[in-house]
Amino acid sequence: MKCRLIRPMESSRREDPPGTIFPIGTVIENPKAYRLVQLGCAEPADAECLAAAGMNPQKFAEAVKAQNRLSAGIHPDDYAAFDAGWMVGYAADGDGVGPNGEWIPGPNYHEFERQCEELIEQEEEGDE
Amino acid sequence: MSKLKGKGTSLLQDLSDTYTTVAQVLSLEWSGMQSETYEADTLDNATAGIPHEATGRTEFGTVSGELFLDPALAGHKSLIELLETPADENWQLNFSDNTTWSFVGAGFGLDGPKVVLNDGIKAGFSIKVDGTPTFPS
Repeated sequence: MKCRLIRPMESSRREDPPGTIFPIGTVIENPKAYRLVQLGCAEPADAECLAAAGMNPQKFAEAVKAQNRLSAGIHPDDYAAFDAGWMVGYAADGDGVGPNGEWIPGPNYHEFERQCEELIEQEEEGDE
Repeated sequence: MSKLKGKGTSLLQDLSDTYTTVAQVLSLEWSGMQSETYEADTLDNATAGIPHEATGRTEFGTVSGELFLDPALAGHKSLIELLETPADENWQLNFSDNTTWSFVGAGFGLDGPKVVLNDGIKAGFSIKVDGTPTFPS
């Protein structure tokens, strides 16, 4: 069966030099190609793969979202932050932001800061 | 010279001719890398110290870890398939600075699911390293 990659992926084939990257659109023919579809890495390229993957469009969208997290190396503790757009990855050498100074800020990082400020204000009002 | 962060490290499995990240991994450990030696003492050794010599063989140990187990997840199903149909499998350990150690796993173990009231369902896993891994030069 065949699938078509929707993200660049490294080849694990022994005949390919280490570090070989399959570009987006590469068709993979393999008995387990449906697994790449289920993991949000590829779309079905034939009827056999479509049937084996057994996913509706919503499930596929969720799988793609989950794969985006995985590809960014996001730890399960930070899944919610990544999904909310607060962070997009981890900064090298501790030059990041966020609760532990390790995030690369995402497009919605300002929202995280706003919520933190609200929490601080609520705590201060509670202390008074 | 730098101290790498643990977060951002990933374990990748050979899946359908591509390396795919294993999802929901909480921790990773590579243990038991040891070059083999033998005791090379002889009767005419006048010193107290016991000499050892290398055999030329190295045990490259086991890669283990823990993950939040999702039995419905395609990637975790692929791990279970390694138990149903044991076979050599290619793996990669990708550090947070994108350095990669590649290795072949000859055996796979799963210790779970572990179900408790106050936590997500977890499982431990282990991969027996086969032969010599590939380290960056």
